Amino acid sequence: MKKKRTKKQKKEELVQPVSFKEKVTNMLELPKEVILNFPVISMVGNEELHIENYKGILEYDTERIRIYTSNGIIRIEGRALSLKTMTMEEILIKGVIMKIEFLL
Amino acid sequence: MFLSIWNYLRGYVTIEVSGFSVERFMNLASHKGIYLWDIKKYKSKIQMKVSIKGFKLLKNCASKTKCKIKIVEKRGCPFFIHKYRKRKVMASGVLIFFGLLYFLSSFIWLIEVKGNERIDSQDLMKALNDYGLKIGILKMKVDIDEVEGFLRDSFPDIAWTAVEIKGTKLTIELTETVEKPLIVDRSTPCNLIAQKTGLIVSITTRSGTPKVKANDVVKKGDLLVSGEIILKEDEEGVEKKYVHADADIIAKTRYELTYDQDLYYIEKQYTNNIKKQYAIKFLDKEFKLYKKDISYKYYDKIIDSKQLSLTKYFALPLYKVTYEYREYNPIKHKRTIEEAKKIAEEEIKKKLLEDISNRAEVLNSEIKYYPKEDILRAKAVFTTLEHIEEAKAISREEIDNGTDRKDTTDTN
Repeated sequence: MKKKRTKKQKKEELVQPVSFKEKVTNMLELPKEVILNFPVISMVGNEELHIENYKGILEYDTERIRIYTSNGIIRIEGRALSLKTMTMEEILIKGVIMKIEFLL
Repeated sequence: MFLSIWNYLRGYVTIEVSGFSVERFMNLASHKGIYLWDIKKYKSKIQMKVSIKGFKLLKNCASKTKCKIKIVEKRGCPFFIHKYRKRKVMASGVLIFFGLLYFLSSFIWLIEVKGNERIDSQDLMKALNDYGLKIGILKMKVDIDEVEGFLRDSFPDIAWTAVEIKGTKLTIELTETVEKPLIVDRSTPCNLIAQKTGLIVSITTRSGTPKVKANDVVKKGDLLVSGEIILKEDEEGVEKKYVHADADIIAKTRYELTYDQDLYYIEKQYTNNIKKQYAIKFLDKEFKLYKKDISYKYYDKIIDSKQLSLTKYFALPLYKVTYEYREYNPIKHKRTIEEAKKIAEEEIKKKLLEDISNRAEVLNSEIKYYPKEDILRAKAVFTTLEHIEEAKAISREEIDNGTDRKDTTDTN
């Protein structure tokens, strides 16, 4: 019994915990950005970055922006970054984007 | 582009935020539904733009996050209006401008006619003027259907017309009817009378009773062929029939023409001196922009009038008039008698062609010249052969009278 449990624990460590909500959305192929509030990220070249469903900004600098979302933290690095628009549900970043990173 | 215009109309403030955590301040603001844009970092301070409404709510956020807000710039219509709120004259000027624009655009300032070939534009304009449609009429007063009806009724040559008002311009488009050939109505009885005075050379009658014969001299208005035919004439009375008289009557006619040709003529030798004067015409009043005295002794005056318009469809009731004065030196020349004779002959022939019909044939021409002090008088006598008949309908009364006579003879 003990052995089995450890095996199960190991499995759980490897695979991220999948919530019931995520299982249902996966099964029914529902849009995740609506149900799970995942961020929708779109880019135009390397100049514009559009993020929907964000939760807040953690850091703003001309070289680095960190944005908090339900998927974790998104870190954007680049040059001369500015926030073109900022509303409750979307944010538009302009500048020369060089790196996008997800920090889980 | 459109967003920035909208933002300008609503008015916005550029602010500079400084403090420990500007990010928190921005999060708080966006969670409250305040729209922030153009967020940029300048040194340690962050600049952003926010609407006037949003700015009032921001104060609360700033105090919560312990940030400092400094207004850098105020832009937009509300600030502009606020700045000039005490300038009553300017405000009234703006109002008057728009009022005047509206007022003036409710009139018709230009009437254009399109598509007429045979009908003279001026006649049309005159008819419209008499009808009440003239430049300066209120657009409201113009009933398009009525105008179209009026045009069709008063000009039988108009087959179709469309009246359109665009801006301050009224356009009349019309199509003319196809010209009808003149058909002589063969059923109405008529007489033939002489159109001109002359000597009859030949007469060929197809129907009717000829009243003249060859070598007769007829005067203008004389009866040539009567449409009255006597069928039977005996003791019982006269039986008559009225027909459409038809005949070819050729007569010798004579024309006498005189023409005076000046021996002297003036040649204009233009000096290159030109003076221009401008004027603005409003309705019928003219305002000269600046006065210039024309010191030339001899000059040609050229007037050029042009209507001003804002766009193609918004004609203004203003005309720009340009007066151009060109100086010249008159030089008097004298023609030789031969030259004058040549001109006189051409002129006389031109005059003759106007008088005679184009079917006429010139038999003989004689031109005599009488030179006088400064003119050359030419007297010409032409003999021509031409048709002189002209149909004249016999009125109903005449026919009735004729039959009456027959009746009376019957009773006798």
